Amino acid sequence: MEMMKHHKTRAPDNRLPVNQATTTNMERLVISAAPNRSYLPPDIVEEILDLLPFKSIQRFRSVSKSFFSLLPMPKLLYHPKFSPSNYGIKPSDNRGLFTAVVLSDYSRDVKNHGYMSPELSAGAERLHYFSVGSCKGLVCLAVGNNSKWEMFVVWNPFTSICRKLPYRNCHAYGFGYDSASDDYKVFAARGPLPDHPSGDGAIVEIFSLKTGSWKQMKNPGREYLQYIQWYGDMGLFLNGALHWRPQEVLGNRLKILMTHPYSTIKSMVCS
Amino acid sequence: MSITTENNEKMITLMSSDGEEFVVEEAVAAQSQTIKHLIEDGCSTEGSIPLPNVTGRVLSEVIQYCKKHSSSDDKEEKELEAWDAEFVKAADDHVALTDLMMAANFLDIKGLLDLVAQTLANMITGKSPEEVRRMWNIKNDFTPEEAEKVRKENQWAFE
Repeated sequence: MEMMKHHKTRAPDNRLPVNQATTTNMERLVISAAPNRSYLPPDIVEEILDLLPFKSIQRFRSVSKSFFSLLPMPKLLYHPKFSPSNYGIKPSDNRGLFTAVVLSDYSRDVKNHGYMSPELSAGAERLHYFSVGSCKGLVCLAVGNNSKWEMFVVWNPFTSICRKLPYRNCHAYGFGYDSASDDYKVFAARGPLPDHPSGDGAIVEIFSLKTGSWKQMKNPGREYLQYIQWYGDMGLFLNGALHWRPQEVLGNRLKILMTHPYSTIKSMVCS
Repeated sequence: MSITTENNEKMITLMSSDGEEFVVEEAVAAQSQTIKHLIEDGCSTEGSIPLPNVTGRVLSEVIQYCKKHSSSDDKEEKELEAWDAEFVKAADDHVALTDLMMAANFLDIKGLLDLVAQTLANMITGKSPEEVRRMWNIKNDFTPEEAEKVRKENQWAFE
């Protein structure tokens, strides 16, 4: 059937045939040996899939292995098309767990709320959470129950995709995007021991969504860690770096740079 | 082979995979970045430019598109849009469109690639995976276990 359609020719109004007779014969030969249509080059498929609405993309993951490999979950989690700008979140008291509010996206019509996966929102009334941060379309929350914090959840409110990460019990957290490695990272820092104000005992760990693991920062800049307002302080992601307000040095801000593969912490003086 | 018309337009000869030759103005052919680079490299001075990945049938459609788009700089954008819509409609079905898209990809004609990709995307948006498989003879190569895994992952992630 497809061969027939393939053979159909349109009125060639603009072309200048040079060897009509030969061409027709050759064309017939080529058509009879028409390539198997099952071959769709991946770049062509990708080009088409990029234009589809999210619901279609999720459905087409089950077409075949090659479609599936073009649409891996991480790609869907970070897909720029489905990660529209900045979200703020607030608890949603009746229907689900959280509501994501689009803070700034005037360019297109996006839905302004989302719910987490059923697995998470099923016990919504029992869940405790705090917001670690949001950047580039994703939201990071810490989720737990009455007795302990259980996990971090990175959530794309636009697509409802979430990813659960192992929790780290720390004092300061942050969620940011590292453009050098095209990766989202969760930052967790534990402050220096109480009687070691110079920074001894301070630990900074970074979770990379790409590698899926926590790594301890080799050289976190311990001299600065003592200034971070510990105990539940969330870094603010701005201009490619996480920022914390210093505890004591008034008028200054500490800037925490996230660079691949490990971050360094530097201070930045603001006037 | 370089021929010049009365208007002093430089002409270029393109040869399809099935040996069909098309003589077009250089400005038309240069809508394709691939051909433009070949011309710049001097490939057009010795006979025709061979395009081994594009059949004559598809190439004639591509040339129609390039002609329209190279000559319509000051035309209304709306008119061009309407022409584009008619153009893809005339391409008839997804097989012809896929051929056209592969040619646009090979010839590097961004406007045409985007146009055809959007047409195909619109065509499959509401379709089921089974329908998409049928359209392109794609084999469902998941084992039952894998299919179940995909289904579960989708369910967890998307609902």
